Amino acid sequence: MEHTHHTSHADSHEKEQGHGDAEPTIIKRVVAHEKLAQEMKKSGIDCEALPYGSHQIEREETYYSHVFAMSPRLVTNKGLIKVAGKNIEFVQLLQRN
Amino acid sequence: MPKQDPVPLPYGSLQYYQVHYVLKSGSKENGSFLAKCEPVTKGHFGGKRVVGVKWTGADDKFAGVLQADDKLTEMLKEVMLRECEIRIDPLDEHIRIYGKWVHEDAFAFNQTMLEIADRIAGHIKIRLRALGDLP
Repeated sequence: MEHTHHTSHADSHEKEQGHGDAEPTIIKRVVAHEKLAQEMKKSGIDCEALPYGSHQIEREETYYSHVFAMSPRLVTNKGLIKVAGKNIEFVQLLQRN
Repeated sequence: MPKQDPVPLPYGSLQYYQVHYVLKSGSKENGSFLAKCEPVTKGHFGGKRVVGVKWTGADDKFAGVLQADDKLTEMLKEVMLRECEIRIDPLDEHIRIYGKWVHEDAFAFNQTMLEIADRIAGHIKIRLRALGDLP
């Protein structure tokens, strides 16, 4: 899932697509878990998107105990968000394969 | 308009996402926290509504604690029509709380779901402290 934002700021992740005389459109690509972290911050939750694959939880063999029926075998980790000031410590985003 | 492949590959990532709320337990004996919540509904189709929730778990005591939390039940009634089922899935040294898979078109941060997970995590931590597994 790639989210695009139209913005006037420019950094290394941004591309410019010029179309003749028209104003250049700047497309900023935001990683899925960073987008989720931004939404959480807007809701007043103190959180921080961790670099992809940086935490041990992301490198676990499985993200399910498989005690429940229909637990998926193939999933992709899409990133981890560290949450502060709550009983839960992390929010992990998974994509189904 | 984006071009759609008329013959998509039958493998690879699907457009479904799931959010896991994770809390560290520091214990490998987490099996008693295994539980799931299902809605009790009335009506059909557009008139379907959640009138209650039912917790079932490996440990009846823990499921009973969650069932007895009225505020948690009220919050669950709000989301259960969308989430269908909430699972508490204990793994080694951490416990995961999650709902169902959501298509990327409908995927967004759900504040109520985070508050529910936080409240459940609170009950788990109280129990872990009572067992002496958490400082």
